[in-house]
Amino acid sequence: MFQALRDTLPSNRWIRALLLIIVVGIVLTPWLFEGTRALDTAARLSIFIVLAASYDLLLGYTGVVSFAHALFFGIGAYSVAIAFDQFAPGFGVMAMAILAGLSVSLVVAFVMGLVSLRVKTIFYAMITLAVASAATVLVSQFYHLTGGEDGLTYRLPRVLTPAFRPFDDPLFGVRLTGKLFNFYTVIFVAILLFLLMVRIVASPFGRVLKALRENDFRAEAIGYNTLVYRTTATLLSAAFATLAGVLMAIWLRYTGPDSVLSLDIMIDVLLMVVIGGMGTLYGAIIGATVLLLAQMYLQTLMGSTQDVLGGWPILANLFDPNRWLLWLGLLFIASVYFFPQGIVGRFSHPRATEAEAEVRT
Amino acid sequence: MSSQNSVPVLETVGLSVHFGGHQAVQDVSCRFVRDTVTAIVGPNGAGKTTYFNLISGQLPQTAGDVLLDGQSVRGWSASKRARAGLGRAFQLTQLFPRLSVADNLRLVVQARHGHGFRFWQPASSLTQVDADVEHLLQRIDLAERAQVPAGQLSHGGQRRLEVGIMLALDPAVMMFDEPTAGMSADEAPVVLELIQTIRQEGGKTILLVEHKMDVIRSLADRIVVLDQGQLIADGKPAEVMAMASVRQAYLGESVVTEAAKS
Repeated sequence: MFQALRDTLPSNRWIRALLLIIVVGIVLTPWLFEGTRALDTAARLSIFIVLAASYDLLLGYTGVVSFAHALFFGIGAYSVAIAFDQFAPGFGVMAMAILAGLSVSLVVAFVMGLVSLRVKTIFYAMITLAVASAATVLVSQFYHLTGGEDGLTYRLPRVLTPAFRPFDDPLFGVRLTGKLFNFYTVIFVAILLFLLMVRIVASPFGRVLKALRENDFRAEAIGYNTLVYRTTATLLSAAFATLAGVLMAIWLRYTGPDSVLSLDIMIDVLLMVVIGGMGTLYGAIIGATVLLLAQMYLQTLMGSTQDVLGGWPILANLFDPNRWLLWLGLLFIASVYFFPQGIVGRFSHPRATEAEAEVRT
Repeated sequence: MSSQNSVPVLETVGLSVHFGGHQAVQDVSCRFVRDTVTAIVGPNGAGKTTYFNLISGQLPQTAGDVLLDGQSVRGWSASKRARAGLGRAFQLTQLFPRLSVADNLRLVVQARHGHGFRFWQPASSLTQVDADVEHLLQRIDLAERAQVPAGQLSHGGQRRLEVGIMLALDPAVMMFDEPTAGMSADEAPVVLELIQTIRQEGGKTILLVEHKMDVIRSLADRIVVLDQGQLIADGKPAEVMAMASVRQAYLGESVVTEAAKS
């Protein structure tokens, strides 16, 4: 494991430091920050890191453009949600739901791959977009099962809920409840899944994925069956997205189209990967952090900025919290303009610049 | 001719392909034996590269067959043919441009060892692969540039890496498509020496698309001439160059006089 980490971690020490700060920040959130909002942000962040990283496996490493990633996320979440809605909450039911979700995702990913991965990538992108749109329609049509647009609210096994309080005494000022246990279950599984992906990109298989992205024609010519490898990559990516969806369903205790299935989620994930840096995996950590923190706290930040600028009406107007989407948009444009390879990509290729400086002989 | 007495490693039987009405390769039957370097020559558009594409599986034929060790490879994908021993180097450099020189070679070596579907083991722990790659880097004289992205090598360096990939693949049949195209006068001999070494080590069947007569003279045991998709001459270099039809129509007088001087 350590070797896989050594082989893949960005070489830039500022990026490494930033990654460490984010990970430590997430893990110690209950002790570092107050309130349920911080806890919720940290849990969502860890889930979105897994989701974005699994998308990077496809987009950044293999060079496959898919718009169905939120679909697999949704399948994972809905399989748990529907199971808990229909049956009594328990870990056996959860295990069955996870298995069912994974199977459905893998079958869907396999069929989409079989139909369209053989041909041009743009065709695959279109197929995935169509299937993803169809899924959102299906979810609202089968409202008896899925709750339609309202989604599903369900009960979890008691150990994972705030009502579960095994200890009376708080630990370093934090009360140990089922909510906290739920939080650390999500964090632990998310870290495990991320490390699994690190392991995959550091493996010989991961090397082949990069070869497909760079030049699939040549990859075929040196003996790699590109269709088989590309399909395997989509299956793996779909499986990780499904598990991220399971975590989301467990954390939120609610599953609806807007929280796990919508095109907005898909676009968020795309932005996370692009901002963080495609084909870096660790970029997902930074990209998800930037985007999620901006979404959660930009409005608050702008509100306080406006208060400070109260004396200058025009400036204060510009920072009106209602204009936060404008600033979010500007933030994206700036990040793509200044870091076209993403933040991690920008700072992790010292060798390339060195080689560029050399005279081409 | 000696090539007809031995068992052919590679054989094309009536191999044809047409794009719409255009017959790019027409009924080409030819046998290639071990330890022979065959130069495939002909004017531009004669179908040389297309012929290679049909053999290595980049293009499906419309008629005819390709036999490897007497077995038909009809319907095999390019990757399956590569695994079976049909190695192909390309005229326009086809590398993995943003991967390092060493990674370009590692990919080929791990393909040969069949490591592609290992998900778990760190790639860097495949010490045999790394040892092979180190050796290859020495042979193609790129050891010092091992960590540079392949796309940033000089043109000559990229051509050397192209040959290095062929060496890494180590196939029974090696098809080189103008290995020295676009190289300067002092770079080209390095690549030719590499091919010469492969030939001397023996055991290989080498096909070479080439324009330069001096290259053909120094490397080829046999010349096959294609024109408008058809095989019009086949034999020892001196014989083929002496053929009136070849001289007049396809090689051009200047080339023939140059050849005669040797």
